Amino acid sequence: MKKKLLRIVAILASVIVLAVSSVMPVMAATTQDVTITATPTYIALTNSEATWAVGVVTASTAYWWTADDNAPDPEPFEAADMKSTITNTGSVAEDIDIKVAAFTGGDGWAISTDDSPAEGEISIRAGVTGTTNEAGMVQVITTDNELTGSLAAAGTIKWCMEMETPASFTDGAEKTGVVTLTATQDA
Amino acid sequence: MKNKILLGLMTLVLIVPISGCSYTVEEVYELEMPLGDTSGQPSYTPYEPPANEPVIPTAPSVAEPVELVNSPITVDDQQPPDNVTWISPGKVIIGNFHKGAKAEYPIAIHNGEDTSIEFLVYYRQANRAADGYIIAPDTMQDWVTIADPTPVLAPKETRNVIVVLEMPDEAEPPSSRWEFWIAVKDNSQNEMIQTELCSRWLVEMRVD
Repeated sequence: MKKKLLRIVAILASVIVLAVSSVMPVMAATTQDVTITATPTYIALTNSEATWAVGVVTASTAYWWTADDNAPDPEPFEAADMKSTITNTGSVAEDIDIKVAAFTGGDGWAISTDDSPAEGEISIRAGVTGTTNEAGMVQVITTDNELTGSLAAAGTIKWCMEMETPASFTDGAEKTGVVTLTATQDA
Repeated sequence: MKNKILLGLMTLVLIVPISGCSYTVEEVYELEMPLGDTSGQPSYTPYEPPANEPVIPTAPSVAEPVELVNSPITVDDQQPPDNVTWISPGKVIIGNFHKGAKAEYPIAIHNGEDTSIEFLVYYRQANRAADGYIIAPDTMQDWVTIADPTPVLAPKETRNVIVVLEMPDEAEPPSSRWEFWIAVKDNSQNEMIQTELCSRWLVEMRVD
């Protein structure tokens, strides 16, 4: 009798397990595959003028990289006064950032973070068509700042630079600096 | 003996549903492709429009060229130009990333110049991050491997460079969402103003 009862209990248990397992959802996977999504956009950029040979400079003096090597006039800056043209030759709107590395040669020049460079420092600023005035230009430093944002595909922007030489020099060696324009997909 | 048989049956009853605890859904798509008359040569019957079909008027000729002013230029669907240096894609989004995971994707680089050029391909900190993401610190570059960081491309050549993102098992992500950039630079540039192209990599960590 006891054995029969045990059998009945065992059969009932198995029926319950079957019933429960048939209505329970499948155990969900606890992991998900890593997904990679990319749209077939391409990033490209051209800049029409790549050189600025300033020549011999004097201390605490502003030099302009514009169409006529003078400060843009009138203000806000007009396209005709700009020096170079950036063209977004990519397929999507791009942000264009700008930075400058410390000047090398002789004692070298550090990059000033404002427009009043101390001894051994140089200040670089950049502006584009429509920049309000000199004060409205982007201070170009060793890390990127945005020169222009959301430049549409096939769009162009004209730009210029201003260089403020050090308050004083420690040597007369030739200096070289590199300005980098960086293009990335906007948004 | 009976008990053994009963025990065996119960074991089977229990094991079968547990081990088979998964559902497989197969979606079958059937394509109906009429074969037509294959007994002889294909026949062709000229199309004759029905009597009530509307007539599409011919576009009038334009004497002067039409100038489109301020019209948006869509290039999304076009092939990238051959004579411009470009990279692709502009943005890569990695989802469900986690400790110990590995994701790899190629960056296509095209040399638009008429001479062979060595490019530099490198990790760089983002200048900005997408909404909801943070700028990944420089240390994240330890998780990034670039298969060929200095590829030399022949004129007009396009080449894929594999970028691998691998998170160590014991590492902690900088955030649930973070962004870094892969930069590509023409290493032959030697003038004062140089250009750099970047692909944005957005990483979203898995929610456990």
